Amino acid sequence: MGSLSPDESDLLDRCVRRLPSAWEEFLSRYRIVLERAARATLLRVVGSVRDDDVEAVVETTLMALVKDEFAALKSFAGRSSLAGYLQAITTKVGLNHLRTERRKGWLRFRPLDAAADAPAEEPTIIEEDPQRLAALQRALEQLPPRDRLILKLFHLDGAGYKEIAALMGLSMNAVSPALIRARQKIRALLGEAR
Amino acid sequence: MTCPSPEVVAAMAEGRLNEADRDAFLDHAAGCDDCRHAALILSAPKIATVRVVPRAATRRWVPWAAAAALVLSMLGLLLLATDPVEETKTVRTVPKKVDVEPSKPPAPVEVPKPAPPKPQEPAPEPLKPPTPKPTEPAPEPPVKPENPAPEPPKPAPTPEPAKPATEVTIAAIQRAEGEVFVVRGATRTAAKAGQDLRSGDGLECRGAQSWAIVSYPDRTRVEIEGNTVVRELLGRQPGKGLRVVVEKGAVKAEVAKQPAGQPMLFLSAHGQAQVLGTTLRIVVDGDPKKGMRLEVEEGKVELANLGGRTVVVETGHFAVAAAGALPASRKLAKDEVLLSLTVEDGKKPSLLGKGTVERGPDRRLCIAGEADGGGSRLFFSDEGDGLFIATGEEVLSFDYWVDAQAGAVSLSLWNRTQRVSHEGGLPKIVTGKWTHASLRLTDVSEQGFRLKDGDIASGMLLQATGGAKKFYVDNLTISRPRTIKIRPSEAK
Repeated sequence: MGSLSPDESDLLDRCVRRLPSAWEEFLSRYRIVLERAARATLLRVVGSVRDDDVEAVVETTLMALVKDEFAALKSFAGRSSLAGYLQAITTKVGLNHLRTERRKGWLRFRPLDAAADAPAEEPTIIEEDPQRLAALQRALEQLPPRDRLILKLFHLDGAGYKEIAALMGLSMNAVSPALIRARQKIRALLGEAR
Repeated sequence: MTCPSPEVVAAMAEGRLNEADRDAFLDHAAGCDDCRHAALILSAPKIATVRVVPRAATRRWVPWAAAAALVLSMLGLLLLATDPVEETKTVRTVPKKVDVEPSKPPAPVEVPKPAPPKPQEPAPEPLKPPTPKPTEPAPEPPVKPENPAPEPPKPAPTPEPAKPATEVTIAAIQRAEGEVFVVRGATRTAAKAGQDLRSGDGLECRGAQSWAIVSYPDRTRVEIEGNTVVRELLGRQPGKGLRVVVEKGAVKAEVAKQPAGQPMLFLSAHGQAQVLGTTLRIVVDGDPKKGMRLEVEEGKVELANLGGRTVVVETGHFAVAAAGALPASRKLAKDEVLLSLTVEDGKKPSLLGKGTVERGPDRRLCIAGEADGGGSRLFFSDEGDGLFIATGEEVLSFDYWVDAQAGAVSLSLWNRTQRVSHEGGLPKIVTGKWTHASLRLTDVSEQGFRLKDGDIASGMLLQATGGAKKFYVDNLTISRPRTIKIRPSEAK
């Protein structure tokens, strides 16, 4: 498999064949990878990390890995590193976890820790005309994917120029002009040319 | 819209995608929040080398939904507002400074340190029966469950025995009621009392009213409850004890003292319980969040989740091995509450058909009876699911206040299953003050008709008779003592 070392390949093979102690070895090597990915996801999204959330994400990820007789491991084709693959699964699980917990109202009660230090930076609620919001949403959807992506990354996701550049394969200097162009396009779609 | 696999997201973050795939991913990410966020997280200053040094500008995305709407509105404002340079500063909806947890700086992922395995509780190994079943051609078909459950690894792989061990009888069906099936390889046959079970056999109890008791030669007994699938019952092997693989549902067990080093294991996709001798109940849910619940009536059981985290559960405690929670031992409630009517919120309970909620004596918010000729009545009913399903252990308890004119407090229970009414009452009453009362509902009988196991009670009339005008009730509950005892071996 592409980027897999023979050692990793052998471990996956043994896990899938359920050979003794393979799963134990897998856990001892990669549990920490999952924990870090879970921690990084929670940190990035919520701004703070609780150990039980990390545990929850890791456990759910492990469930996803063993599900359907290790289908997730069997289907790994080596297009990325194994650690990267496991991190990607963990990140997705972490995002789902946060969504679920938020739906349950959990986020309202979590200790705000770091966030409490920066109350002034909480977004200000701005009353907005729902029709205008809908128009904005429609305009956003009509934009070419790249323009939509850069606007979402910057405005919705709070990504910085460096992150946007890394993800979109742009130079740092190209990010600002791309953002300006995207904004011009959305203004045009809204009939608000300036 | 199908999301790319995590492998593609990972390859994207690692810069391993070719141009076409990369373009396709970015186009997708423009419309898919999950993939965009995952890629952003994974490609941000590498998780692999996460430096948990406080970042100058860690941003928060919470709550996303609110932020999305908010930012859209802000974006809209910005479009109308100042020059572009200003926009980039003011439009942010996320705080720039969030202190990142400074503790536990993780090491690079590329060189993961093995987590220290617990010496006595090794991390799980997917289940595998000792030998292939003769009826199944595949050499290693052991784990039929969708989610392989963990099992501590044995010290060294044992060579495949020449003779299939599945021929060995390991237990017998002591009782089987309802739709109970023995699954042997691809064959499913109706279970009979006295039938031998071989290592590798499975058992299914279909429907809530079905159950079976499996008895082992060492007097260990396992009751398979209704709606339960036991994927495999495995016998002892060198270094391994008896094993019961529960796919879903609930089992109870009275486990006789097991040989040293060969604890009996109850396994599921969510974890395992290791038993040396005890009475316990295990409930396995298909939902990973609910997982596997272990209740221990007597003795000590070690419960391990899929990640190898363990907790020792002692007498009168329970613990859950599930995705999303560390297993922790908690005290079992003494009683199982079937019905609880409280009116602290001042609202009339939906089950209350006759009666009102008001302030009674001592200004206590309670349920007041409805005056009706010679007494005052309260009526509770649930025509849908019924008030409760009887097992013969139910107890009705409540606080009451009745005026001095009352002659008795009586109870009438409507048994929907037998279509009879069971009549009874308090042996003596106290008037003019709040008094607690409790009544075993099986003691409530009329002409020999009593509640039977499985009967559904759908209505209950409580009344103060003999000219009572004021009758108040509070804290009404129907509960049954919690027990994990297995049913008797012999039918009564």
